[in-house]
Amino acid sequence: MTQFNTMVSYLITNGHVIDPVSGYNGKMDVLIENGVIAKVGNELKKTRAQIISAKGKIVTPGLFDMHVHLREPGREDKETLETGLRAALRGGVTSVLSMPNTVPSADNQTVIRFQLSKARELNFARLFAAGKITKNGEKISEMWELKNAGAVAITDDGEDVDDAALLLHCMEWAHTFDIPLLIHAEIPSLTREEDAVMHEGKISQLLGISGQPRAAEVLAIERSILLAEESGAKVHIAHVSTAGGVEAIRRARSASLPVSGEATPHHFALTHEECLGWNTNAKMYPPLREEVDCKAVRAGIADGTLSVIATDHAPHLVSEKYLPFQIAPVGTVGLETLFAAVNTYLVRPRIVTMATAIERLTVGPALVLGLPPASISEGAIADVSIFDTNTEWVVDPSKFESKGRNTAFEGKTLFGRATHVFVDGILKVADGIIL
Amino acid sequence: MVLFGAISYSTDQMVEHINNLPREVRKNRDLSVFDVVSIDDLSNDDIHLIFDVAKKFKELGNEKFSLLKGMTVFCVFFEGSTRTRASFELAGKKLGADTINITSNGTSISKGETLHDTAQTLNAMRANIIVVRTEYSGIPQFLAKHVGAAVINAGDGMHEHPSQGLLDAFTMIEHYGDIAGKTVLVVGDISHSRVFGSLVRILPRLRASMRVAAPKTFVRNGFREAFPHVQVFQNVEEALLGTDIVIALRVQEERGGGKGLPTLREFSKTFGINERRFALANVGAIFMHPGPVMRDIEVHNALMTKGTTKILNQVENGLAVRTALEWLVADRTDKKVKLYDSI
Repeated sequence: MTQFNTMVSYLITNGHVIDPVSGYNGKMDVLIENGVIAKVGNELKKTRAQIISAKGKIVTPGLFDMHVHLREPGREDKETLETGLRAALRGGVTSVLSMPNTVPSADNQTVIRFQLSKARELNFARLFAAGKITKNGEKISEMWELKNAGAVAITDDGEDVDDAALLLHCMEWAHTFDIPLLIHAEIPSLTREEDAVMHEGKISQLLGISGQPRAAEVLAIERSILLAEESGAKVHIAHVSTAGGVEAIRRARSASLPVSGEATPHHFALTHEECLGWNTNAKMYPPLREEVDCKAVRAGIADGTLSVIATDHAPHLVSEKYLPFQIAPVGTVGLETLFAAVNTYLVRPRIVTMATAIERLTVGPALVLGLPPASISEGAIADVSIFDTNTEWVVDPSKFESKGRNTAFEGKTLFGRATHVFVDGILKVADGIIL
Repeated sequence: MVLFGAISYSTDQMVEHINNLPREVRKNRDLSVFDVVSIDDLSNDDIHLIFDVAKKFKELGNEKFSLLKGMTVFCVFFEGSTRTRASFELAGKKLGADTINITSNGTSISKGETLHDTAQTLNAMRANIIVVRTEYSGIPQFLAKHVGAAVINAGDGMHEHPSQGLLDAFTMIEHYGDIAGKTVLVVGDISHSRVFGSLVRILPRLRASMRVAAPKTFVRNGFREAFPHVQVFQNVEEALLGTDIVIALRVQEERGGGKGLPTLREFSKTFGINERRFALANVGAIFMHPGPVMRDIEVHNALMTKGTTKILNQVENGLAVRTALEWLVADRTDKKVKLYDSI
């Protein structure tokens, strides 16, 4: 408690506060003291507080990106906890859930404990860790122990649990200890086993690349929903890419099944046309699909079928992305373009309000993971981001904090940038620069 | 000395005379592109220039030229090939170039070398022409952007095989004079075939109409959107009615083409071209195949020896077309220099 006495107080003035938890949506001042939100109101006065003018900007709870590959331990050449969590801050993201496909993978408590303790030392964005659903896709992981070590979810992200019986048993075990499962929905016999590395359609035909059908995802989503119903486990479908997938989740939710869904910026903003020229930065699993799918994903975000927007931030080496399309690694980085992509492709075209967008970026992920959502209300921990929604910029990966330069948004003009970020009431980013 | 000099003088003159024969046809024309990686990049003028020159080379038969003397042709074949590699190599030799073959199954790419480094390495050897075949779609396009040499695509994955598309069209034109309004039917494994990839791009440019006959297995999602000008049939006999040119394609088992078929036997029975079926095509129709042929699978043995079968003409024309391509890309009369990104 003594350290709080030395903490600087901040008064954020004249910003447009958007807080999905309290419902604030208007011009207000926010006072941050001793690591918490001390006051929210009009024309607050405070002597000895550092004033941050948020005039013309929005003030939101810190964003939560629940789908991030940080690569540490094992592939620190691609990303480290440090570079990844700095990239998060730069994007206005104060909480991150790390995916467990590290080397060694987080299918054991040691890796989880290492990641969490190292992130605490680094003290950039907050880290939450996910453990694996299975050990090598063969056995149920020790979920109880993973949870005790601090894992808040389990996932085999990067691939699905191919064996349906194993997946059901995993769900039963996870249900016993109330751990949410994050599902990478894909039937491998329709995708990897066919060397089908992009969406099957006009563009795969033109490029001479084997394509995978939408059914590869929809079938896997339906399978997970049915097994969620059987087991009662909390199942979250990661990075939904197909119209059929969105519809399946919508039906499950209207039947009150414990199922949620997630959208990534690249799946709601970009189509398979980005792959033209064999652009390996547009190669991902699930693949970029067609406008009808993007539209369905956007509609799913708007009506709450997809309650989470997350990036699937997947850094790779530049040299790996120079490999032929068929063998280049999959994924795009996303932390530093998350807010701008949401603002550019969802809010500005009036598909969702900024309040809804912020909800999908804060409350949505917290609810899936069973965590208290960040909020700008009195007494809440002060994880706060300030965004200038009008800044226009062209995505230039050489300027990223992330080690990953592989972005599918390279060269695109986006609107909006984080200017200030607080974690635990401490100013981490000021005027867009990490302190 | 004098005698030697006199002979040498007259030999030079003779060589120049032979070199001038294709030049007379070419009339100082140049391709609009520095590389031949996709039919899409070629203008209609380019296609006609290639055909004019190829026709001349074919006429001149076994003549040897010194049009590319001192130049180097690298045939970089990351995938097995007999006819295409031999044809490009022979073309280079006919033009007086030095030809080097690099053949390997399993590329340095699969050993972990990046495409950039492969390109840089070839560039450092100052090749004038790089003829490349690879199992990966898009590699020749990538190479073309990053080397000073002219890149000729000799087949990239399931994407394109432009010299084959050109020689097939050349063979059709040789037979019919003009193929505008003619109907070309392609039968078989169109989804794994780069030959199809080039045919589907070149035939509409020559105003031929195009059909395919294939099981649903080979007509994938997006086919009709990508190639709206192609009429699709699932019954080969219906497709043959009214056809002038029939091209059969081999089932590309090495690319997974066999996976969607119960047996080659059943494919042969349902889609193989035999004499009875071929008789459904227009009178005077011709049969073509890019090779290698699997006799009695996609084409019945008896049809192979018929005069209407142009497979060996295709091979012969392949040499002429490739000789034309190599000469046109490496010896520009406008002396324009290719710019490339050395990164």
